[in-house]
Amino acid sequence: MYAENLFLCIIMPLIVAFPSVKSESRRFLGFLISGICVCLLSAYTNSFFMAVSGLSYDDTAVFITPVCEEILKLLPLLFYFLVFEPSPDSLFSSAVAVGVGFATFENCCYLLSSGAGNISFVLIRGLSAGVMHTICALAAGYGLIYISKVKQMAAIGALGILALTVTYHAVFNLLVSVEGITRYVGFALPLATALCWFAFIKKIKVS
Amino acid sequence: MNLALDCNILYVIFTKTNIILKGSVMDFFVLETVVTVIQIISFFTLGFWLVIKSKDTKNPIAVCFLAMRIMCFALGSLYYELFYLLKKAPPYVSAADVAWIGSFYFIIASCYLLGIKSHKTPFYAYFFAGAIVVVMLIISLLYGHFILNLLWAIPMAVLAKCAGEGVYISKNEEYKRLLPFFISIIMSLFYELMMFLSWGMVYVIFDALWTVGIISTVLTLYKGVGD
Repeated sequence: MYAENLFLCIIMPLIVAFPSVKSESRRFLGFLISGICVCLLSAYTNSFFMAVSGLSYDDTAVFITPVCEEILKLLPLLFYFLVFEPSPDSLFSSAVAVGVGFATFENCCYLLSSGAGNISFVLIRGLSAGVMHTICALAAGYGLIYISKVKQMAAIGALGILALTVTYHAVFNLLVSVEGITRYVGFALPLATALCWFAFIKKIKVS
Repeated sequence: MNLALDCNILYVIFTKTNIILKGSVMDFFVLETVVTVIQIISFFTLGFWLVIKSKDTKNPIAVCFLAMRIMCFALGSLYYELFYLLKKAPPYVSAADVAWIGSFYFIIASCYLLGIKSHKTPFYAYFFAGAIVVVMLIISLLYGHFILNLLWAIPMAVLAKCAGEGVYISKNEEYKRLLPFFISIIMSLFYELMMFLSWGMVYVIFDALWTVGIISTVLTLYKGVGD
């Protein structure tokens, strides 16, 4: 499969649309594009480390992929956070855009390589890995909003947030790498987390 | 490996203690799993409770950082335990280490937010940090991955220094209520070091003590910054 060709195909209309939209939408689009770019970059880095370490595909997914992907996903957000000092709302929507962009491109690559004929596979893919990437990006965005209240803690806080997202991603990859009931638990994990997340945020807002 | 362990000055003490407390191999694994499961459940519960209660405190961000510390640690333990159960072997260097080491950064941030930076550092804060570095260096020379041990040592030493500074500032009336919190941090660091130096049943005991230490850290901070 040629991921670069797919990348160009998806990104071209977005780049053409970029100058024609205004402030908030433009920023969202920009981060969506960067999410897609980061996904392609992480595919390269994962392949590189897989070749260097000599690990199998499954072991790479459990040990290396979470670290590479989460670091690369955090980088555009961290840059935006440190250089532009955005408002919490802008930071949050940017984090969502990076996560959605990443998940969209990854899903496209998987569907192209495995086929999109099976609706259950497509749904599982969309609701598990797709949601997982969005959840990780949301957690990173939410964490950065907290850090923004104490700027001197930015570096320390960013390391902590990275550790959180990497581990969550690794738990998901570990669960889906094993056949049987564990895999289904893994598939359900992101959606369950998303539901808990929204319920928890609602409770905090109410209290 | 055995030669390295023979060099360990605590080897004899721990081996003897292990003999006294010795159960079967199965007992050890079951006990270790039970302790870890209790740890994961209690940490997640406490973490969510802290986030909800943080608004009632004088320093909600510091409290939230501590909640993130224990939840990050629990996530690492969850990964480790799942890996052990699913792959039938413990992971050597994995995301669990990332989570465990990363969780230190949250509590360091929490300590700084409590105001320790604005005061001078007493000599015993450097002593605590130095002691941790020395012990971790010895451990690194005896067994394990050198860089991984170093990655553990850095945040542990920084946290020890923060806790020492915290004990020092607790002399002030303003920070007096935080003294139990900083003592809990020092105690949990001590148990953590002991976990590096032990194995078998002794390890499980220190793991349980460490869990209690972390829970007391949470409760003492909540009491210290609460109204």
